[in-house]
Amino acid sequence: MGSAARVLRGRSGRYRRACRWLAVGAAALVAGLFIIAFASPVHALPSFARQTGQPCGACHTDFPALTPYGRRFKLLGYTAGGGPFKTTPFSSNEAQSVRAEYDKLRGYAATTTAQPVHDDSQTYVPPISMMAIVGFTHTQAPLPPPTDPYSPNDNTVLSPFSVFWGGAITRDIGAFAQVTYNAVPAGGFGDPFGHTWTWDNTDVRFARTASFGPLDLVYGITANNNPTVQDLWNTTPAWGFPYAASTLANTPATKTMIEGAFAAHVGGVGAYTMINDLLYLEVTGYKTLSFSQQNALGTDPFGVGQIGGIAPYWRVALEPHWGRHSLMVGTFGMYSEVHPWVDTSFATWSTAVQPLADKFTDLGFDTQYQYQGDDYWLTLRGSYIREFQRLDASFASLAAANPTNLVNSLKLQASVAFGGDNRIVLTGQYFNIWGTADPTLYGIDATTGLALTPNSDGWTAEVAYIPFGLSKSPLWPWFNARIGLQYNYYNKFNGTTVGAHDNNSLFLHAWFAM
Amino acid sequence: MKQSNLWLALFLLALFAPIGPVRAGDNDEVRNCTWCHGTSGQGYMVAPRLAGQRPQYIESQIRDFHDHIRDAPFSKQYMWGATAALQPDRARALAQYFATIEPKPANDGNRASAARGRTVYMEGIPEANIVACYACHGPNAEGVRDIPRLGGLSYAYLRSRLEQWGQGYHSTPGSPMPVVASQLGPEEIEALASYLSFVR
Repeated sequence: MGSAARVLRGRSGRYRRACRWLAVGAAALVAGLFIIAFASPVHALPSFARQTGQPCGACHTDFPALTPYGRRFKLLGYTAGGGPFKTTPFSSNEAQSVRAEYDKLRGYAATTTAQPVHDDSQTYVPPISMMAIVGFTHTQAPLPPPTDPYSPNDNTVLSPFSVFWGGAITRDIGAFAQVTYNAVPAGGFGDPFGHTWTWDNTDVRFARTASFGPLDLVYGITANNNPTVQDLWNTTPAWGFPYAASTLANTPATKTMIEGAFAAHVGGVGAYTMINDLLYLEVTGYKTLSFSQQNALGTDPFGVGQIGGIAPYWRVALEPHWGRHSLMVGTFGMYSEVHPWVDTSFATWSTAVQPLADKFTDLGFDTQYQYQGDDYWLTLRGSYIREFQRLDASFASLAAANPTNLVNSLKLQASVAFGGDNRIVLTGQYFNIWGTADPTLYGIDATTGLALTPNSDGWTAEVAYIPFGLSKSPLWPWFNARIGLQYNYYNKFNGTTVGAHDNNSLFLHAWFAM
Repeated sequence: MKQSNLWLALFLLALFAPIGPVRAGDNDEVRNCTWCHGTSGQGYMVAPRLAGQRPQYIESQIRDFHDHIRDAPFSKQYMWGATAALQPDRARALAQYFATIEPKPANDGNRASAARGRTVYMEGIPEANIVACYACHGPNAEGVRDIPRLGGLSYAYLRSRLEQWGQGYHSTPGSPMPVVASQLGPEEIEALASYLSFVR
């Protein structure tokens, strides 16, 4: 599951606090439904809508799935404007600067006679947004104990609640930065460094455009905290489907490292370019934040070991487009050397890491086809990640039975978004995780006595209703919502079909963005 | 690298990165257009090419989007919002800027229909009383004043626009296009859009 989905997953707390949040959630739900009933359209991140003057449907087929224009908005560093509000707090000379560019093109830059035009007609509103998801979770079998502070089944939880900075900072720099409250997980935190408030998906970008002969370039720099959070396509893990997920239902235990293991644990800086609106190239390096930095930012440092050196991430995507069609074929990947913690329980008060490292090479291949109909979007997505694990540290410390393992992750998805306002989005996804059997990592099958695999596979189906789509209302552009009903079905779960269906889950949720 | 060094490197990158090749068009107002119309305004998905378009035409269309006269679905969806806060002097500057960029032909029509399209474009359809397009748009479909350049626009855009004239959507007041284009059949529209997409 991607980090966007991970963001939407909770951790745990006290029962009273949960009740208080529940009450807040219920109030928000009622308020939200009232607004839905009596108001109109809105946008995915309302601050983006305020900045651009565009409805959410310009950039999103669904939240947060992107249209081609949404991808370009991100590519351009979240800086494109055109809306009713000033993009940045700094004074603007836009009309003059456009005229100057025009004169430059015509070859007499020095002769420009345009007078400075200072635009004071627009006001600046900081691009701050909020979102909250209230979700009801039903699992086929009750959750295994301990479930405190929740019931064994049929729980309603407000999680997550996020505050965003989403938009331009200067002409060339913009950011998507998220701070999130996650409810306490069922059974509580596993160590003393669990947090409910944490920094979340963050992507600060600098972007410009340039032309060199026949080449039109968009180029930039990204500084972010989660490999693939900066990516433009929803085929990569950080923004992959499902976009909202239950914080309580069990999900497969094994993922490849690039599928969210480093989210919020690392900082990375990279360079990217899009050539002729066709070829995207990116290289980014990641480094784990220190124990104290992670803890200060609300991230549990024990969530993943420390990266030795810098972990390189790469991305190549070819995106031809013609008429209303857009196709992407790409590859991405990451190499990381991860030193496991010596004592993740913190029982010995140690924050030391093992001298040996586990080495992970993740190779991803993805594709997307998107078609813009008159009143609908069709999107087909596929991704395959193959992870080569060389478990020098885990094997030496007897945490893994094999010195090398493989993990594969496959996702195939189809989604149709009907309508502008009152949009209905139908999404179906087949997922399959499979890899090498390892009795230490994955356990022993109680029936056969054989080593278990990480294998899980199944389907996710979701119907979502987005009441506010394209037109504008008195509340525009300050509010949006998404109601979703999601069902997760497992053929196999954590290496066995026995009891796999017990993990099937129904997740009814309301997602509010303000 | 220590964490502090990493953040220092990030800061320095952000500081010095702007010292790059500055080019015409890389300003925020132009970027508001090229966001959807392509990095050099050559068109992208349903957003048409602006490069090389007649400045008077761009300006008049911006005005019509702003005044909600041009009302086809994508016009309402994208351009009404995009032009709502666009002041006339800026619209004029943008129109002049994009007009100076050399247009690239889309070349994405059906080549088999192009010959028929050229005939319709150059000669009209006398038996249906359809006037030749070139009479207004010029022999190379380059346009003049506020009559748009059609040569090299994308097949999908041209086809969609020609269809919309006959579907009751509005554009420039006083334009003869609703009368002219509503008489075109699907085959003529297909042929014209195909031919024009190849015109340089």
